[in-house]
Amino acid sequence: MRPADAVYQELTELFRDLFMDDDLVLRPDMTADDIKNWDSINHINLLVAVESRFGIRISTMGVEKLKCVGDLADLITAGRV
Amino acid sequence: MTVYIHQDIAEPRGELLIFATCHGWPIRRGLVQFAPDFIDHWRIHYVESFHEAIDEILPLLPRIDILLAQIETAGDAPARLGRIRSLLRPDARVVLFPAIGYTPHWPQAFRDWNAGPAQPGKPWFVFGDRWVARRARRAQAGSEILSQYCALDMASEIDLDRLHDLWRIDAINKDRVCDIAITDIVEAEVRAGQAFFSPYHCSNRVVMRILDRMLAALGKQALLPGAFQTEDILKDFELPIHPSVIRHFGLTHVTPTHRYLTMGGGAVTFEAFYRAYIESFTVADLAAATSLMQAARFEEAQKLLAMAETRSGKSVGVHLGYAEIRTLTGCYDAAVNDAEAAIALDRTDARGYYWACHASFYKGDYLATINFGNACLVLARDETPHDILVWVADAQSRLGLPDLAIPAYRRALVKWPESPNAALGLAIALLRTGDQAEAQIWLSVVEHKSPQRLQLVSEFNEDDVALLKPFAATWPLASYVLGAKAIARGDILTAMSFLRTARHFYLSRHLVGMAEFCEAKMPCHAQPVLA
Repeated sequence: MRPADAVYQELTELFRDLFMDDDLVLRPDMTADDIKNWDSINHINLLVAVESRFGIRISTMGVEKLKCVGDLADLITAGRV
Repeated sequence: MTVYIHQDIAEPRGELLIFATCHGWPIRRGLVQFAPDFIDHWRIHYVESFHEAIDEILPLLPRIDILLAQIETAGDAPARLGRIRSLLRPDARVVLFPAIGYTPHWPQAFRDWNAGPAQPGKPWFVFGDRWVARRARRAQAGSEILSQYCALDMASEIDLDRLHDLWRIDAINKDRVCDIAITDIVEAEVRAGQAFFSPYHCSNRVVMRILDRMLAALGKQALLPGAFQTEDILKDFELPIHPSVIRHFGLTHVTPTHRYLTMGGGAVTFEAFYRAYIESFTVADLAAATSLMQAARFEEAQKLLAMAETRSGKSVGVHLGYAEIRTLTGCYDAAVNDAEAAIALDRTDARGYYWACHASFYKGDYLATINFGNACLVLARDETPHDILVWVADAQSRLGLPDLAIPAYRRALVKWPESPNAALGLAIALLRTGDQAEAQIWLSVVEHKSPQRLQLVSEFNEDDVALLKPFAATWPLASYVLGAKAIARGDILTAMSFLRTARHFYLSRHLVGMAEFCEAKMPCHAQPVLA
């Protein structure tokens, strides 16, 4: 499995768990508008969960740039390197 | 969309528009009552920014002198407000301010759109809790979920300090795209006491401090001191804070035994709130099971009932669910047992008597039907389902008590004049008393019901058929009803025989429908009805 696929697989599990939707299928272009419950409360919870799950630290700039699932996957990939 | 306007008696000096979420309410009050530059002569408009359709306020915009606009996220400011700003006059002043919220006290909160319907006396769940919801949906025992949740150390699940840090980073990012910053105000107020009642609903004090900052940005006078002592407009409920979160952040405004305000004015402890939240899953499951049963999806309904039972034990709702599913699947003895178990747990709940009456009737236990039905009628009063009246009346009629049954049918027909069962039952009861003239009138009413409906709702009963048969040759409507009843029991040949008799006298839309139904299923040697 390619690293990006592995990230998306783990992210999908994390999103399903956090947003309470077992049928959620992630796409890189998905934003908060596309995912029920991805509101400002869960946005912060998402960042904490991502940090904990992937063992990374999201920078202030990273938080600012984060607009869609693809951005998050990029942050994770960069953080793991 | 609602536009809330405050207009002073005096001639307006200017017009101000607040385009914000619920925080617009206290802002509007602050401006109208406590802002020296706005108390007189200004028209204050408030438009709730939850609404997507902003078209209705567009005509207002060219008149606006000051716009106070709240943004949701750092990224949405240009897109969200671009159209509004483009319609303002060039000299209009705009103050962008961030969404006001604080989430770290509720690390598991989420908008639970699936939370069960509110029950009388129970909290209403604007927010759900992920930790609890995950376990409740797996059908873990409710008492177990609750005890584990109360004993949980939230810091072991989520890095609470990092949650606060990330909230702060996100809040500062929002500040940067706005004309005023609020993060320092929120942080200071959260440290000082109860600044937030739930993730978005904050004290008036928080809002007034932010409003003061907006006034300063506009070069206006600060709020009068009274603004900070006003009753909290947004304190409509308090979302309970987990005891371990209270300990972690060293909160002093709540204790683990704090009673939290619920929607509607009640107050419950943390534990009582989450007990009710867990129960709401059972309420939702039982409601969903009922819908599934109505769609004849019994296996799925059974699974939901089993899950509700695991979570909440054999509660009244679970017994009622089983009584319903067993009645609808023809297990009448078991259904009566379940309904009686529900009655034993709550003798004031009419639903237990309803299902006991229903199942007893189909079981053929007419005395029990009358007893359970009467109890249901007493408890349900005006809410009595008309079918209870019909079952009781049918039971009385079949026990040879048509004089008792006739008034009950008439009551049912007052409640639901379209009831074919009540009309048919009344006709048969009248025949039993020898009143053929009125019986014929009610048979005529039955004839006007659609045959499909009649087949579904009318119960085949040999006594009724025996009673109607002597009239079949002379009353076309008796033939029609007998035809419908024969279809209901799958006896197409007999049905066609009755329908041919009825056809001999008249032809109605419904008779044609029934005849066509029979002819489609007709054995090839049967004589057609409509030929």
